[in-house]
Amino acid sequence: MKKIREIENFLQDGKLPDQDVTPFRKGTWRHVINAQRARRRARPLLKVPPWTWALASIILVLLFVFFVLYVK
Amino acid sequence: MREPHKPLETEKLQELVWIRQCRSDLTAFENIFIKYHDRIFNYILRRTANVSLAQDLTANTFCKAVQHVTGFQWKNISLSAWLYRIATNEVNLNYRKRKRVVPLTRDMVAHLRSDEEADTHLTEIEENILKNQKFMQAAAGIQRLKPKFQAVLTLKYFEGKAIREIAEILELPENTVKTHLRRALIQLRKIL
Repeated sequence: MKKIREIENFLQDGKLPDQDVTPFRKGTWRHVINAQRARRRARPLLKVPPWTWALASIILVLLFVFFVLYVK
Repeated sequence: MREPHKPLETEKLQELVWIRQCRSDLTAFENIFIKYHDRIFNYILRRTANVSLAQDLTANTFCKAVQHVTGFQWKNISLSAWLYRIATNEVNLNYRKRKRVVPLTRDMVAHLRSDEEADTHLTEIEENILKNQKFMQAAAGIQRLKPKFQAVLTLKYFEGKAIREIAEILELPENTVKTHLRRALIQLRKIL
């Protein structure tokens, strides 16, 4: 059985050199942008800034509290 | 007296500016994409030994990154480590879906050649991979391990990352990374 050091050397020797993948860049970027646009079209609520949700939640809680106090 | 910024700090500051720009204009993400695309693609390629799959998973990685970049915070992780983390998760997710990624055989490459629409550059890289017997042997052995061991071995020996960086990418303590590395090597020794 091989020694650990031999396995480490085997892995280091087996490293695949960096491939020139620049030609794929354009296609991948187009894919990323299209996916993002499709996502935005499908979910317009995502355009609302996060603080809006926080504010809406606080207002809802306050309304509920006032309602409970009023009923009492 | 204040010391001038080191190149690495300047680089980080530049990335921080890009991330801030992404909040108002997502096309600013292109700078990050151009900087890291090749590195992430090559990492995924070394994990999967399959160019088409690497292309798909790289696209998925950057899709996820562009979705979450506005929420990215500079805490204890660099942008590079964050992208590697997303890429690792994508590969592991794919691994779980398919159970095992089968490296391309010569027949499959021949089939790609016969397809007129097949990208010639893609075929060239496939050929480069197939010619590299040492890589094919190492990749075949690594792909028989658990995904967590695959990730740690690829990052250490193929990407040349330090233990600290691997810990950052995999969100694990450094000692756990060392343990995973040792166990992965022992398992690989049995396989080889």
